Amino acid sequence: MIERAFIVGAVLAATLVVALGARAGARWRVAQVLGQPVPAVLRRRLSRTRPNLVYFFGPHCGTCAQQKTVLDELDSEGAAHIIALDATQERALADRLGALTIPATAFLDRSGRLAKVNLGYQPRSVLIAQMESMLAG
Amino acid sequence: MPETFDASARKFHQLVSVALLAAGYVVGPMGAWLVALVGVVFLLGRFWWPADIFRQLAWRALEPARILPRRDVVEDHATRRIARVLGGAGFLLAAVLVAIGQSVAGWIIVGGLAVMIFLDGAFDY
Repeated sequence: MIERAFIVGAVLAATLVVALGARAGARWRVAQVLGQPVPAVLRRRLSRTRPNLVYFFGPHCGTCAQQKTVLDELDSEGAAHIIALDATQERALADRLGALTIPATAFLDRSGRLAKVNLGYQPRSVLIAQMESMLAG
Repeated sequence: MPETFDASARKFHQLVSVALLAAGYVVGPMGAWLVALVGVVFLLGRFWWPADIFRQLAWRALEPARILPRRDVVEDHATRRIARVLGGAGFLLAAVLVAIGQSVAGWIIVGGLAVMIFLDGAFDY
């Protein structure tokens, strides 16, 4: 029984190390890309009047559909300019912008540099707060 | 509006399941009953919420007592429901394997599923 308890502890410890390592790696990657200019292919699609929000989705991602509902609202209200990209088709761009998961959202500042990257679903309130903070800064 | 779900109850359900599976492994062959219990809760609870006794504990006792704060978040439950059925079937199969003496195969199935549930419950992977 003690041997089995030790095995459970070892598996738990290994799982924790891998999970925390992966999370730290994702944060490090996002920190690396913040402030970087986006590629020209993306810069051509930017709005000059509204905050630009790049949205990475996947074709079979259920949470992406829910994220899209929120983003469509922001777009139709004129609060943000949404640039939706299929991460499975735009892998290089997703990697360049630090979008390591889907859904992912990335705000660009007025000069077309990455200002904020969100990994995973973000509710409307969070996105609006980020936009306001970006516009204030 | 996107549909929201109680993530606290879901995580509580997942972590209790993992704890029971770990306890089942530690106690040995009799632990097959605990694995079967988790499998039944997964499968029955998928189609009939009252059978999800772990979530019921969270909803009826822990959240009202403010021991567990309720947190409603947007989640993709269509995928989760499929995973839950597959997981429940896997646990029942594993319980049978352990019960008939095929312990290694049974506990490998339990271990793989438990690690995935733990990662989802603790880290949202």
